[in-house]
Amino acid sequence: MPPLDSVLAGFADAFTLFNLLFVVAGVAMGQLVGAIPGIGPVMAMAIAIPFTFTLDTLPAVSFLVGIMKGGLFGGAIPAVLINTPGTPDAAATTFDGHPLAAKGKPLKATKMALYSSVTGDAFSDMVLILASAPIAVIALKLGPVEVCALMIFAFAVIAGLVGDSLIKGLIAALLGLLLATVQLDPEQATPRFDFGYFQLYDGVNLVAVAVGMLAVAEIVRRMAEHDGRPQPAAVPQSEEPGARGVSWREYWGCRWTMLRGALIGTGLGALPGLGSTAAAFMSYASAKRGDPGGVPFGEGNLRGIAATESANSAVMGANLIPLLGIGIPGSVSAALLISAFVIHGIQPGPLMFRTQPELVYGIFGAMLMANLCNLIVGQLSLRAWSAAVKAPASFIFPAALIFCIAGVYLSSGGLFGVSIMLIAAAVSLTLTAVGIPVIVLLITFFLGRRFETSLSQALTILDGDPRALTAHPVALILLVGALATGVWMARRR
Amino acid sequence: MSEASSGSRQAPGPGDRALTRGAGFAVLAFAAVLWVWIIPWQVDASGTGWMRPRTLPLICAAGLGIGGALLAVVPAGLTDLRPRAHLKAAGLLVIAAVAVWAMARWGFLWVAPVLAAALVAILRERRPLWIAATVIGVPGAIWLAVVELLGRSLP
Repeated sequence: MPPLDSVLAGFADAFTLFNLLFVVAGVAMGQLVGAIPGIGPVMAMAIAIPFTFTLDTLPAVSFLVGIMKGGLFGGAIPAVLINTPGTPDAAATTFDGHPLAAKGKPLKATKMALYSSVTGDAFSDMVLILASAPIAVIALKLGPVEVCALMIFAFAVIAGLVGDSLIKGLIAALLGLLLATVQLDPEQATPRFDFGYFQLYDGVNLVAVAVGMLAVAEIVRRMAEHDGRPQPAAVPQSEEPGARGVSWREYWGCRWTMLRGALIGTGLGALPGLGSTAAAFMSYASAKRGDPGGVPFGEGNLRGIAATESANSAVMGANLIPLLGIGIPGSVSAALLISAFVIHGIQPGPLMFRTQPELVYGIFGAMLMANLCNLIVGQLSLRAWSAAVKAPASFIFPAALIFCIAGVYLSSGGLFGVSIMLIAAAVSLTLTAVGIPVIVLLITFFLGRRFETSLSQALTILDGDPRALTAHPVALILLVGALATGVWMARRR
Repeated sequence: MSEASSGSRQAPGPGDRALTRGAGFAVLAFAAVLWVWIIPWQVDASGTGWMRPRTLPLICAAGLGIGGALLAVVPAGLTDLRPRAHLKAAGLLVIAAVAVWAMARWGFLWVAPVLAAALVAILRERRPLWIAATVIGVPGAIWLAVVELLGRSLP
């Protein structure tokens, strides 16, 4: 555990007016983009990262965390109002959110989504704060052999869980590793795959690839599928008593549903590869099974909204447990945070607890602050975000594309990075078309250099003899686990 | 979905299997080209120790070859190919690429509004306010934020 003074210093760094401004801006931006179907917090994070490199690390990460947290709730707004989830993880919110809105209670439904989102998120943040430091202590005791085995295990789990084919997942993982080898060789410092471009000596720009694969590919896909029809109209608000808000009694009546959702979200979020959409659907199904009666599920039950929103929001904090605890991102948003850290010259992982404890606890402080801001900004701005739902695609997507171009130009220092971004978008569209999961590619690409270094160290320690693994039982267990995961996934499908 | 598949389907259909098989052959061919031509051309063969410059690229090429062959033999999983939409998306990327090339010659401030106007026209927007917001407002806001507030330059 880091010393208490570092912990307190970290929280003190977070709770400043300057940092609060970035958290509020991030949360507001997250809620806004979440409310606009088609953008979503991941794309917004990808676009925002290049603009944060002029900031210090803590405000930059606080801003991005704010976007992520705001976006988790924001996605529920169009799900409730127009039956179109703003983000994939809000899909299950449409089941009860929209029917409740159709009864003339859209404000009640969105407020329930807000309260349960904040509750689930706060729960997972507490788990993150309590669990990541002990995990990091264990992770720091691992040697290069164990770290290499742990990464192979994580790659196997991510490749197996994301997408619907283990082989496609493994191909994506290998493509990501291959892309990470485009740079000077870490041992001999000879150039690899530079094709005469000196800009590739430092590797393919992380931000350009992330923005291209996640944001630009999605923007052009959405533009290509746009049929010119306007968004459906939002349902009108009834003026009858109790239709505008959620009473304490109603909120408290959902406490077990929210707790169960938060537990499911935190559990799934802590595992690399499983996302908030799975958590939301699992929590909804679980709440439906344990329904005590009253309004049937699917007809505007508050518990249905509470179950999905508490679960999908709980995933966010838990996603950072593997990132900060062992240095492996649990989701694409956590992977994007890696590029934000890298821009600021920081390697995320357990070593941060030893070398930069103030920053780690500053981020935790910012996360708690972002939760509170999510509640306040959400309460104050629901009407504004409801209007944003109606923004036309003809404005959103061209604007987002131009932001991507400007942002990547700034972060990569030239139009070469922008060209890489467009190539990455084309690759992403092609891979997605044939069902190869781009997220796996991105995560292994982000971890590629570290993997090559740890593999090199492990081979030197083992002297290239696999039998020497018997002296490293943890590594052996992890490698067997990776193999077993692969076999299990292959048999399951 | 090869007009063949959709996000809501659970089991792969014949269209998915054909496309996946094709993808498997493509990955296999890429791995072969990588192994035979690109790695020897682009990666130094020298080095000592267990990890040489070519070691990880060769491991990746071998893995991709095996993965591609497996995918070609046992095509598994869903696909998401929509030919018309993907062609249109490719066209949009070409427009963006031309805009990036043009930015290098004439600058962001002149090219970004033209790019925005082209995209707005493709998306069939006719409301003057939204057209103005996209064509003038967005590039202007970016220029203000980057050049005036951040003190950085744009292309």
